[in-house]
Amino acid sequence: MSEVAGAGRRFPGSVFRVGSEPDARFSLANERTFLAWIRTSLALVAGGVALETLGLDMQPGLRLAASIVLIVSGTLLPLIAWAWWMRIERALRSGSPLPATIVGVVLAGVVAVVGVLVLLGVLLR
Amino acid sequence: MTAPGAGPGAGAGAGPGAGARPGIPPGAGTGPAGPAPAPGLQPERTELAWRRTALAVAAVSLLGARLLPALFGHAVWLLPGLVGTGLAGYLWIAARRRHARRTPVPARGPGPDTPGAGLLALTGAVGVAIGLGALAVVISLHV
Repeated sequence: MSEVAGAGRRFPGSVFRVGSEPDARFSLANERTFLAWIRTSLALVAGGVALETLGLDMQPGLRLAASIVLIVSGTLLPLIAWAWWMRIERALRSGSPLPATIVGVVLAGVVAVVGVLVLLGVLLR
Repeated sequence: MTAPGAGPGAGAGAGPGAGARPGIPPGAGTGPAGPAPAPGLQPERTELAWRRTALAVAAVSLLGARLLPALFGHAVWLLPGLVGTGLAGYLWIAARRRHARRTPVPARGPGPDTPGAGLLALTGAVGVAIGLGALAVVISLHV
C-alpha cells in the first residue's frame, strides 16, 4: 500500500503532481459525483439491453436504434466521468475555478431522443 | 448540512460536550450539542456511494449471469456474470479500506491525504467493459 507515498506516486500522476492537498470534503464530493456517473452509465446499458431482450412489441428497427443509443452512451459515459473527475480534482488541487460542463445537457438530449424512438417504435408497430 | 438536532446518539459516541476531538476547532460543528462526529459525514456518504455502485455492478452482473446462458445456450456464459459479481465484491471491500484510510476528516482544511484514484479508474473500466459486452450481445442478436 502506498498511503504514505510521495505525491508523485499516487495514480494518476497528472492529477497528484498538481497543486496541494485540497479540502478533503471537496475531494470526497468529486469522488461521489464520479460514482453517480458510473451508476448512470450502468442504468443506461441495462435499459438498452432490456429493450432488446424483453421481447417488447415494437417496430424492430426503432427498438434496436433506441437500444444502441442507450448502450453506446452508457459505454462512453465512464470515460467522460473519469476525464471529468481528473479535471475537477486538478482544479481543486490548484485552487482554480471549477470548469463548466455540458455533459448533463447532452445526456438529457440523448435520453429525450431515446424516448422519441421508443414512442415511435410503439406507435408504428 | 448536519441537522441542528444531530445531538445525542447521532454517531460514534460523540455525545454532548465532546469538544476534545483533536483537529476540530471549537464551535466547528453545528448545533448546541457540540461538534458533529465528522462534519457533513462526507467520508461516510462517500463510502455509501461506493456501496450503491458496487450493488449496481452486482445487479447488472447477476442479470448477465441469468441472461447470457439463456441466450447462447452454454454454461460457459455464466462466467462474465460471475466475474462481474466478484468484482462488485472487491469494490465493496476496497472502498471500505479507502474509507478507513482517510477518516477522520477535520472540520476544515486538508485532512488525510487523498488516496490515489486507481479504484476509480478500475470502476470506470468495469463500466466500459459492461457497456462493450452489452453492445456485443445486442448486435449478436441481429446477425
